[in-house]
Amino acid sequence: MNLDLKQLPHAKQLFKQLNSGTHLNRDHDHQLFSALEKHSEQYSELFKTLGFELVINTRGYAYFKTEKTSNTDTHKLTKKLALFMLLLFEYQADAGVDLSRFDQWRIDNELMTILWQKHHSLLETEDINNMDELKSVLKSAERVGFVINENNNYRLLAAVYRYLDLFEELELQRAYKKQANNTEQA
Amino acid sequence: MANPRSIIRALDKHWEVIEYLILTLSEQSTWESKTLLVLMKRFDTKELPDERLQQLVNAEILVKLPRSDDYELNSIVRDFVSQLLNEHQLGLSSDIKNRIDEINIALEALHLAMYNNDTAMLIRGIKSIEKLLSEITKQLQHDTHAIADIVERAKTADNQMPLARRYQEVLDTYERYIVPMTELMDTGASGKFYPLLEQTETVLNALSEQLATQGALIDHQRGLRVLNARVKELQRIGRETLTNSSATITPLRDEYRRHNNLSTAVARLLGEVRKRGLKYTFADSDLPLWRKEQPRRITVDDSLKDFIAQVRDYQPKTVVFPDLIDDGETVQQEWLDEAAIEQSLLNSLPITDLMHWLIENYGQYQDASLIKLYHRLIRLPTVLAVHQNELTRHELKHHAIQLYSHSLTAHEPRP
Repeated sequence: MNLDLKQLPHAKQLFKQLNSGTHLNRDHDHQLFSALEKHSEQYSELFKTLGFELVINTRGYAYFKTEKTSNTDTHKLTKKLALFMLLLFEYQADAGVDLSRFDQWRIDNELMTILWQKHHSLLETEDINNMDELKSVLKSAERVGFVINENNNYRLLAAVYRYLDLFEELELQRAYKKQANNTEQA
Repeated sequence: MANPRSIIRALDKHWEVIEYLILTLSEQSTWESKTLLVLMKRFDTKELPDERLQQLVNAEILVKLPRSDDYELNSIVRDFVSQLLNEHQLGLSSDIKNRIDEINIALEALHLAMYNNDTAMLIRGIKSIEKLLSEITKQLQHDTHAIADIVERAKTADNQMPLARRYQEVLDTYERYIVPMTELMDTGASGKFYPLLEQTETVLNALSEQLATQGALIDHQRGLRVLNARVKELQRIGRETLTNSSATITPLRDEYRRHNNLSTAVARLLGEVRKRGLKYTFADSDLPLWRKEQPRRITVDDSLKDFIAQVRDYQPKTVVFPDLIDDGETVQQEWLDEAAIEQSLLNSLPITDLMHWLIENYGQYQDASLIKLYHRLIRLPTVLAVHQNELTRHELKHHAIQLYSHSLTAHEPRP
């Protein structure tokens, strides 16, 4: 493929953001994401040449794929975020709220307080010891593009699908295993 | 039976009221008289509310329910105004099924008419099929709008309303309408819709030929052509309706199902986290990761600085090597024609004492060369070397050696 860099005027800015671990989201980084979608093949090729695998999900987010990281902070944060997502989605499901419209939820102080009060013992076991630390998890998540802060309230972005897909995938695996066990026993 | 003109006039006069009733029909289909009177007041006119109500009843736009004070809209008015306002209630897939069955009966009648050459019966059959096809077409178009309305209602309903309630109508529609219609319009063996249309087309073509042969009236032939075109059009509309309806409603149904899958997954995983902890619920490799920017600044390590400092002060050490001294004993390396020696050895086999043989034939060589030859020759793949049991002594050029010398015989190596 011949790369015409004149067609990729956002290459520098995109690389800077993606290389810093940020997820780009269509509804937040609209201009950059559109540029990425428009010339997805060229950008993928360009970044591949530089040794990076670009993932663009049609549900509106993009990132550099990484399977390993030696950074312990990233490991800690992804675990804390997984727990927060589980607690938040369980709360919303119990309230009968449409889970697929998570990008419209407002995660305000009140909601965070409810989650903290309901699950503080579980959060503490994962080293989230008070409300401030819970907020700092979201603040860190904002830096890598999973949430956005709007007027002191957080809102989930499309990159959260990475966690939701994992949850569903694990559940599917469990169901398959169960089915296989049942078949074996029969 | 009300006069059509008076109905139209009443519709025009009381349009705001009737429009409101039609638009709220999905929530309420009958009204108490006091509700209607309150409603009349909302739309400002010179007439009193009860006078207006009476006019609507007289024009038979509102019909009083038997043994009750409640009113409902005249069904003709309801259908007519609903059509005008694009307000549609989803029809029943069984209605279409019934009409398909009726077309089947009408086709049989056509066959009979053709057989009996009964023109009057033919015309009745054609009219009947035409009416049924027209009704199916109308219902399919009507249903497309109705499904779009259902989806819109689900999408625009209150966000806080529990999802199961919000999407109930969507799920019902899918089960009650899309599934049976898909079965009905299946192009395979189980579908009834398309085979029937094809059959109708075949019968109409045969009939058309028969009428042409008999010299039937132009009007009758034109009627057949129109009917044929209507069959073709219905095939297209049927396909489009089902595709559009499925495409409109399926994403919402999938969304609901995904919601359920996700909420099940979340509940189960959270249960596992509570019992086993997060660490054992998610493997590190499962969780989403992202790049962490590596520092781009290159700094010089202290050990490198020490190394450079040492290099800067480097002074080469002087090493004194010894001079070459020729004491006359240094043995020059000999050149041996090893191939010739090997060949000579093979020709001399068997040899009872190799060292003896070497001294005898090559005694002119240095001691080291002979010993080296000895070790080389016993390893030749084409000879079998065996130790002698007795220790023998041999005088070489400069040294005497004692060894259990080898005896050699020819050996055929395995391929």
